[in-house]
Amino acid sequence: MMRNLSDIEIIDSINRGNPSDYTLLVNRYKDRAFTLLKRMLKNDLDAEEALQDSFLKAYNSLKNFRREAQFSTWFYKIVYNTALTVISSKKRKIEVEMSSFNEEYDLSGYKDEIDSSKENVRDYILRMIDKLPIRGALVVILFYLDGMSLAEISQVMGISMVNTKVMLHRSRNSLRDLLIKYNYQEEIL
Amino acid sequence: MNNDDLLNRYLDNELGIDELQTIKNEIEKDGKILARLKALRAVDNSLRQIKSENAPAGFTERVMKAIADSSIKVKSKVSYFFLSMISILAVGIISIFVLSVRILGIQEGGGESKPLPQYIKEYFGKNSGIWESILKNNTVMLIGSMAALLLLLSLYFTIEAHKNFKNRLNNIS
Repeated sequence: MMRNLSDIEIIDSINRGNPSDYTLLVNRYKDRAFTLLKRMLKNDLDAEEALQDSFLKAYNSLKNFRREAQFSTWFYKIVYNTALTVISSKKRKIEVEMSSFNEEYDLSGYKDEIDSSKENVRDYILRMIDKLPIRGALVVILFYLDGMSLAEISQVMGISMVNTKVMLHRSRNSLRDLLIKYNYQEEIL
Repeated sequence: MNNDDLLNRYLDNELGIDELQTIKNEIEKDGKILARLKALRAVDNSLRQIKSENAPAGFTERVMKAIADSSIKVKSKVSYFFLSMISILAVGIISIFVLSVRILGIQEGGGESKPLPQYIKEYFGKNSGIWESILKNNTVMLIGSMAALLLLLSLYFTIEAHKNFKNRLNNIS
């Protein structure tokens, strides 16, 4: 019964003095947020730490949550900003600037083909998401895994909707070019 | 608008009738565009298969424990802050009390019983010469100014520390 509550109903319950209900929100979002953080931070430990940090920040700011946006959008914004803080604090800024935020969507330099007979084309595509620029990978995950609209993604990332759409298109195009390069597209259709 | 953009928007069902006709014409003219559309659709199909990874075991319990711990810390910090404020207030009250007793002691020594405000007025009136000489003394003025400066600085840092403390409360992580 409790598990069918909407995010807002859970938040109302927490604000009424039932903090243990926060477990429902944690359980609802922890896996998807963890997936997102792993793509951004490329490290399980950092991802877990940032995930915990994000949930704590969200809990402590629940009273400030404006119901104009969905909880998921608001929460993912916290997750995204926490990940950016971790990246800068870990002095990965230079690496990020050089390899990810330069918006280099050309994956043709990667020579990774399907690396074993067990790996199929779909797994290969999913693996290649990691090779996309961080923000490109993020847009792909929020769009496909979380089912967010472009408007919601643009709110999470603090960028315009046009830029969000451009990132989604570029990410798909670069993955598509890989399929064409290795002639995998027929296997997947 | 290039073909790649049209193909992506076709995939997302965002094309109007005119644009649909345009892309259809392009595909008929150039077989490579059809190949790109097929590959794009293959990517789209694959991306729809993304599955989330499981957060580490026991994660929810750890979060809830961290929340419980942080709320205890907040409570203790708040009580410590109020304790400090109460101490400062208490010191102020005691100082006023001691001053009053001292003034009343002097008053009793004089053998007359007067209201306190009247006594203070008379006291400062009688001793105006002394106060004047003290205030005209450069060393006293210098020490007084330094003390006032130090007081203002400490007041500023106290306010800043309080602001930081409040910010930390709001952004506990």
